[in-house]
Amino acid sequence: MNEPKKVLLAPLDPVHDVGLKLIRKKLMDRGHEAVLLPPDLTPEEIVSRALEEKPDFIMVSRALSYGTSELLAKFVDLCDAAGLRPRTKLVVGGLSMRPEMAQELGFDAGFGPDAPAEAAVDYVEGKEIVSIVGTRPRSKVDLTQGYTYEFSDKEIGDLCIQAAKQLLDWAEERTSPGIRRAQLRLEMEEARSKGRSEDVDNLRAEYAKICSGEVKQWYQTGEPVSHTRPLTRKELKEIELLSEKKDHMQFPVSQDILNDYNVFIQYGTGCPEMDAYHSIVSIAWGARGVVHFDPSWGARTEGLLEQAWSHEHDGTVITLDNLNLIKKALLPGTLWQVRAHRGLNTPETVVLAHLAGADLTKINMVYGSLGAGTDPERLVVDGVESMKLAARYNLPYDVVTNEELCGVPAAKAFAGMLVVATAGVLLGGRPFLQPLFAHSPEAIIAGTMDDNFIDFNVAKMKVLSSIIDAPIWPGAPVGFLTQSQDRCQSSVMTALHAALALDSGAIAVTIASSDEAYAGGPITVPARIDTLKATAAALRFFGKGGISPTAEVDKMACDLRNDILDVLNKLVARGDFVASLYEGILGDREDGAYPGRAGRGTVTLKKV
Amino acid sequence: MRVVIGVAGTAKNTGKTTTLLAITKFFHSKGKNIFLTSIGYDGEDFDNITGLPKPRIFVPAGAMAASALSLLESSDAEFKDLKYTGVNCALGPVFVGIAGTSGKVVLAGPTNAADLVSVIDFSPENSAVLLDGAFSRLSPMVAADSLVLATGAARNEDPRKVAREINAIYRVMSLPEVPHQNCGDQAVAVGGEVLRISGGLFLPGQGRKMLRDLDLSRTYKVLHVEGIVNPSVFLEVLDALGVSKHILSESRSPVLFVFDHPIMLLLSGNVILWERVLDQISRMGFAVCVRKSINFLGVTINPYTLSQLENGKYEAGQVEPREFLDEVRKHTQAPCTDIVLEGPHILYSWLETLM
Repeated sequence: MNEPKKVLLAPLDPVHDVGLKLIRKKLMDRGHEAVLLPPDLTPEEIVSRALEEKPDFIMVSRALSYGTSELLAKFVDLCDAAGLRPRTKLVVGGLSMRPEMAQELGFDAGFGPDAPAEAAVDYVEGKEIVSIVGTRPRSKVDLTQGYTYEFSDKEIGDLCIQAAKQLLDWAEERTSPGIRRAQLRLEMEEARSKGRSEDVDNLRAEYAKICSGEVKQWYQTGEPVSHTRPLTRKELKEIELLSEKKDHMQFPVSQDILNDYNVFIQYGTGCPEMDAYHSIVSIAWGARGVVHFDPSWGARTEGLLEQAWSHEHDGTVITLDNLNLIKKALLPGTLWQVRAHRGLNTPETVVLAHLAGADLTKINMVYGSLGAGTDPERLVVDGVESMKLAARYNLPYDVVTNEELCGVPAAKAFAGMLVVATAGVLLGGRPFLQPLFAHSPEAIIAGTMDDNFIDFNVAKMKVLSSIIDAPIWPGAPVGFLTQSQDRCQSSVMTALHAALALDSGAIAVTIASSDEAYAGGPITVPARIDTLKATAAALRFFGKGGISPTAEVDKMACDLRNDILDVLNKLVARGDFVASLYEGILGDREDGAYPGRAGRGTVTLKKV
Repeated sequence: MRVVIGVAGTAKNTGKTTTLLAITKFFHSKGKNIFLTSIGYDGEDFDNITGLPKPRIFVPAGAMAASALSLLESSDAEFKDLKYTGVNCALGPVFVGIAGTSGKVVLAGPTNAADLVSVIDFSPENSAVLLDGAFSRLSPMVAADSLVLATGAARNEDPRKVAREINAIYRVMSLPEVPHQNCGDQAVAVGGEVLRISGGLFLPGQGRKMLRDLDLSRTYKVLHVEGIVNPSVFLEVLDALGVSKHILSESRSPVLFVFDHPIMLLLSGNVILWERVLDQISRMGFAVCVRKSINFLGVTINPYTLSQLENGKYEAGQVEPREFLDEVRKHTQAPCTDIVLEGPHILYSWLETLM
């Protein structure tokens, strides 16, 4: 038992004293004497009472504004001049209070909304105040650990395996410029690390030959790609400074609830420095992982740049230098995904993700071919190579189904995802299933989600988890087509989708910022905090209470499973995964899926 | 010789940091050792309340600073020879260190007078100890020998009202020191007793109660009010004295009012009322002094204004600087300058008197 202390609690506020009442109870429970003054006394009256009571501590509460801060400063001055200090410690609490603010006002300590009442009691008892500072995980977790990738639904499993084997056999005989560049990049970086500059030059010349467009031009003439510029020295230095200072960061304890979940955010402002700041702020506010977004032209152009670049528009150019710079902002426990899924540089991106030390990547042939403009044949060849590389580098990857956003029904999208994931497992990889958690166009048209947004999303989770024991990571991000330009509405929708996904058994979830869906300009840091805060609040709200779907969910799940089965049967009957992509088995023009053209005609048979 | 100068404000955003930086520059150019600390939190990029950009605090290489350890460690001035002062603040232990290179620093030092005195003890001889204020806080500044006041349009956009407040503060700050530090000696010198009022006079009714409790059989020559004095409350005392002349000296020989420190008169109530109080004391034929005075150097005037928008955000602006300064000057006897508008030479002329 600590020596009992006397604490004067003064609500320097017209009405609000609930915080102080709670602290009074906690203090008295621990054997201290607590005197609660009535609200709305003047600073002089409180000081007068303090001179009579001779407390060890005076705790005042007050919502802060420009005017009230002067009032609090005056109170501190009066206490000082009246001789109360240093015998009596002055403590301030309030909704917008932070330690820096308390210091500026002259208090000995300050507690904000993140501080539990126990923290104030700990302070009275002279204990180190650790509970008001949040923590972030210092070590990484393997999100795929414990999953067997075994099919519980044998009927579907057998079809997936058949289709996956066919796909792998087909790809085994083929190659592409994307695969060659991945090999060259690996050799180049190895030569560079060993100081073999002549080898680097030769490899670089060979690399440049199989690039296209402005990237090729940059390798040949040094002229920057449109809308890009090299990072300045100042920007590079600022990233270094951020890297040095990130270990001194304090994290809001109210966001610690996110430590128990795996919430990812997507960055890709175009500028690595901004990405670094967006990432560290998001991590501070509870993001467990960050996802690198590259420019859309990067998927349609053969070849990737080198060096550090800033890009004028959304999407941050993938180069090893850029990735290494952004990595400096990450904490040791941050999971980092570098996406490689949709374009002509997929295998090389996996190589760069590995070289930069990323933890995860993203590989998908179906969405990339049907919704993102890459030729199916090319992306399947490159995708299989990417999955091989990911397996070699021990990089788990998600298989996304964003083709649903084009209008492709979930059954077709899931069939494609399951076959690709199965192929990945056969290659020794560890894929995640990434269902779309959104108001999907299919459901909008069919009215499936008119009643609520819960049933259809939960049905997807139920189906997938009943088919295969694989990690599910909805996204990416969750809440598509439910968010508006209103940041409050957008945050609520994101948070509810995230909470629903995590409640339904997802191992991770990717969320957007509150301005991402309708950004009228660059995505802002406060908008990132919006959705992280909202997600934490939603998780706090539902807690172990969970979210219950209606009875409709089982029927939806059953229908979806049967539809997946139908698609897989057609796919296996066709006997050609790539042809199925062109022919619409996994999504046709009526659905809104259009086989892409980028890289068409570039696949060749391997030389024997 | 060590000089201890406080920079206090009448409100937030009145230009304390800018004034502090100018003073730092002056003493650095004179070869003085600089020792900086703050009674609050200053030097950050953005204001804690308004979110608006703030002037940063730059320290020259070799300068000493007392601040929370975490802030010295994260400064780019590469502080070395770090020593714990024995004082803690809301951001942790306060350390002193010497800047290895010039750079930016955030200052968060001792927040009360006693702790401030302890920290000042760490400053070397022949140093200029510069105390950065916070908000309108004044009480720790009793540790300073000299004071520069910062005020301006952030306090009130009406220059006449600003001038009026300056006049009251200036007058209080100009009260002479009691000739004998022992008030008892002073009373004996004028042939009477000391009426000592402890605990201050700052609550309504406190003055009348004090007078009711007096021993009327005694004759007082010195009235010493210890601690904080509110001018409204003190007016109660004066009003009562006006109808009860015998309470003090039946002979009506000069009676002396003694206060602890000018700053003790500026912490409670409407400062402007002190003009009326001091005039009334004078009319009654009494004298006023303080046990310890402070060298009031002058006032820096800042045209910066702040307004809160409907969305809760703050917006910075400014009144016309020359007009504002001229109008303040026209209505006050206190030395004033706008160091951005006029340059620092007037401020420097005040500081020269300390060399």
